[in-house]
Amino acid sequence: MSKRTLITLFFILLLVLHQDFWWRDNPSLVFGILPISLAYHVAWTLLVAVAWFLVTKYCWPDALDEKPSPQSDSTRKVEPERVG
Amino acid sequence: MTPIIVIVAYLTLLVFLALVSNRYFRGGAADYFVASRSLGPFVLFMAVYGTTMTAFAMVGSTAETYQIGVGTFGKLASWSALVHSACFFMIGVPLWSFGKRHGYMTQVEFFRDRFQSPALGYVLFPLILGLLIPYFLISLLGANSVVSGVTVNALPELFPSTNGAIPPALTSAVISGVVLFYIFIGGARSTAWANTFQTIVFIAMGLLAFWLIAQKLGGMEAASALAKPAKAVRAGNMTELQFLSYGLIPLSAAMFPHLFQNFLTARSAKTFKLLLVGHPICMILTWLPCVLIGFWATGALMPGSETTVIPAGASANAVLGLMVGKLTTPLVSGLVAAGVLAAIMSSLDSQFVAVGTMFTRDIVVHHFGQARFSDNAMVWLARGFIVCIVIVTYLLTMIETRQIFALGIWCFSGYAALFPLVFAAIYWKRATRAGALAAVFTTSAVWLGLFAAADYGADRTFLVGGMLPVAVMIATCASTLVIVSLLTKPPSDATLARFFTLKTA
Repeated sequence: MSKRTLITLFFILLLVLHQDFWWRDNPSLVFGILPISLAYHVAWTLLVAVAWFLVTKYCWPDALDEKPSPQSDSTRKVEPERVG
Repeated sequence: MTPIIVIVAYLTLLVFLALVSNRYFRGGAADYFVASRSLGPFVLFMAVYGTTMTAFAMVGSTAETYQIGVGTFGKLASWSALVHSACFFMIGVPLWSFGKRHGYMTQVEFFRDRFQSPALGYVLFPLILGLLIPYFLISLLGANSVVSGVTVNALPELFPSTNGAIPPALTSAVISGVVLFYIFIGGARSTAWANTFQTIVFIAMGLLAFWLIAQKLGGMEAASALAKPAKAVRAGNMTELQFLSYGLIPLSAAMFPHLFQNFLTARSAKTFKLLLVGHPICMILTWLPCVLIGFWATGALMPGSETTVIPAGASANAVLGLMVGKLTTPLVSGLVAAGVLAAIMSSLDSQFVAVGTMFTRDIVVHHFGQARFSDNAMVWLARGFIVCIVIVTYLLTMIETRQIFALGIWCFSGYAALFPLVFAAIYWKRATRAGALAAVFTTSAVWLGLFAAADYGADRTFLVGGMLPVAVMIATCASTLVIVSLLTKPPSDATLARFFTLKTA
């Protein structure tokens, strides 16, 4: 299985895990501070950051930063004119 | 008086920063509208993050948690952490690439070119602008509420009719004036610099308020122990379907004109990498402290007494101000107010620049031709239109009395509803001009119908089949776009070659 597929599966898993109905009526506090559902969503959000890090590492479209081919339009070069 | 001094000092700092950033202004429309596509990862990240966070991130998150519990974090913050970054990656990066390759400065230019339809631009411009006006209103009304709250009794002789607080009309005028000043002198570059500074300010002030309030309540454990257990759960506060459908709201990030313009300021595609990873982390840093303050507010008592910090019947939007005002010092109140203003202004500035750019490029230049306008004339046209919009918004704040955030969800839903349009424009070769026009018209009609059915935003519990109305809007847009596109003539190969890699025979 390619890294791209694994990362896609990771995202699908995250989408499913967002709906944490199992904590729906659980008011217990983690470390006596964070309601358990809130603590869960903070951890989930950190995993989202990890998932996007993996995207930047293994799924990044590096070709976009290459110079455009002669067939494509060149970036419109605007000669600056001082604006006052 | 201390909060007023802090707020004035903060606004002065912003003006100073604008003057500094002006030294780097290269002149010309390209620098004014898209900072010559030269911003690096950190400034892009801070500018985009600051733009996506409004007063709702601080005042609204605290208020919402106070009312419906900590599920607020999951339904708004954690969903946005995933979906916003997805929009930056799947929509922002390709749009940046098209913008660089074809010279676009607005999203309407992209849509016109992709669908080969000048008419689509004339339809989209008023729609996009119309949805931004409530957003401006939310920002200015939010600023009025915050400044009034922290300046009560500060100047009783000068403003007796408002119990000594700075009057809303003056707050709106000053905030608009400061934002106009720094976008006038440096456009997108000044805006990005100001947003970087303001993002740091509002994250830091949220954390400061959180820490000091926790100390005053006897520590985080003691504060959480006093909070209402009913607000620690989703049961009884929102349904699972509601919680799920909130995931559609952040799709609005793909259609915000100000975010589109922010994307175009990036130096390269890899500039987006920090934004993707940093956005979820900053969502935690911004939202978690405010959500916990809202949670603690449900049961917080004044130190050494049995009196609740939040009096019965207090407005939910006043919760953050009351917690900060009663449990910290006037200096901290001023700093937190400055933080909220930072969150507000960091969205307002990008939106002002975006509407100015759209008017100039999508209407005036498109209609009369670029050759008729010098760079200088285009920048002045943008400035003129921005001033007109600011005046209209300012006048609307005088008559708008609805609850500040009631319009917000409708404004965001409108942009999110058009997500299928931008997604198809980038990824679906078969999407046609007729499909795009039909999708825009039907989605607008459905949006208007649902908005009217929800008593023009007044009914905040309005749902369709247990879900937020945005679900119906997105389904309408997607289905119309697909059906009409499949029934009409596909785009020409010449058009597709500008946006897709075509297979050769």
